[in-house]
Amino acid sequence: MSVQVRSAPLRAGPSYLASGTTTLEYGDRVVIVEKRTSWFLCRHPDGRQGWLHESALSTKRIVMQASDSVATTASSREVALAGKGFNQQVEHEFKNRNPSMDFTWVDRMESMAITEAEIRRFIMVSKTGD
Amino acid sequence: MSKSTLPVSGAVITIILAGLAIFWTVSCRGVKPLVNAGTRVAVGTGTIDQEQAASIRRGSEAVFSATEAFTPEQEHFIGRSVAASVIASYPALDRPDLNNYLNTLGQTLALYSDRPETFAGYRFLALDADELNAFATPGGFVLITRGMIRAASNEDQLAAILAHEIAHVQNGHGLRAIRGSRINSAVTILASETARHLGGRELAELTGIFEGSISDISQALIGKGYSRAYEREADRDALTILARAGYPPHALVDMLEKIRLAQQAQPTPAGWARTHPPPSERIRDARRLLRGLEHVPTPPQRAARFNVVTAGL
Repeated sequence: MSVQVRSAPLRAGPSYLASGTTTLEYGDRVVIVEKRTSWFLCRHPDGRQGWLHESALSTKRIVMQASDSVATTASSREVALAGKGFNQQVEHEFKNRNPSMDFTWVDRMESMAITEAEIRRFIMVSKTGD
Repeated sequence: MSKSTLPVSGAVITIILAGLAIFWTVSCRGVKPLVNAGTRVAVGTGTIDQEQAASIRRGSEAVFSATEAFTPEQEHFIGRSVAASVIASYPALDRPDLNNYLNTLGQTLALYSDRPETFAGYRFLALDADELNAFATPGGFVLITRGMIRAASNEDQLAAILAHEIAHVQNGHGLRAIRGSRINSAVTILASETARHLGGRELAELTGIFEGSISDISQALIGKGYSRAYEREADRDALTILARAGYPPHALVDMLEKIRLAQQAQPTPAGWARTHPPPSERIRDARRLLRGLEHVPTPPQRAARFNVVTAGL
């Protein structure tokens, strides 16, 4: 399986409350060691291991570079090329055609990531009221 | 995980044998020859079979669903432009404390959905508009008006609206608004493209399809709205998300009541009213789902943080 999200922390357990030990990147290949409901215990070729939620994974092989080896080694039904199709280039062209379309706030939204520590604190306040 | 995302080809182009030449038709319109050439190549590289290729050329319904055709990465780019398009009509509300709170609450809720992770994660933004409305784009950009936030009495009710929007993303409702013919065209260009960077003509075609897709989705969000079935589905899944996250599911019913009252005061339907089924119907459906569940009172500890950020809205 491949990681189909931008970045995915490998967790110590099958839960978002379990801490991330290391982070995998888009396109990283993993082998499934174990499955528990919607969580997979994954092992990266470099030995790193941890739990990922199924929504972070794809059965497709996500290839980062277009190269000849793609066609010869894998059935094309099992491969997706990263950065293909609707991508940065298409968005750039879309912006050229629609100069009034402002992406400032979209970019700002993307930067509004909440840390795991903050989320844990948020959940704890709900439960304990502290 | 996406088990059936459409594969796109590798670097080798296989020459189609003469037998497929019968499918070639010449047309003055730009896309048709491209579609025909593209489907030949796509069939040759094994990414779509001959029957799918013929279906695409007939211009009939989508051979693949949008979820099958587009990876989460592409969905992310679609979502970015839909979000930009919503913000063009409803300006962003520049309140860092409020937006930080919306993201904390929203990103927490998303973890309890069936699709906790999108390509770049769920993101939330307040919009500077009085009408009661909220929008969710593919990829997880959720936008909510100050009018809707103001209508919520507490965090539970706000969570209910955010959960409803997350449910739309989880179920791919936005992507499903893209017309089948557009998906067919996109699939064909993508299947025949071998290089990462598109040639001028392919880029122009694909951008046109992209624009059309953004328009299809924006119309569903801002214009005519989703089907009753999609809205019911989003309400049903919102109840699940709320319960898993430890929020009283009844908060959704309470919020729908608020919306109903606000709409009664409006002479003409606006915002949410124009794009959603009547609240009374949704309230009835939601109550049915909640039958048998005890009414959990709102915990007081959530009040403080909600009141602080929504003061003066």
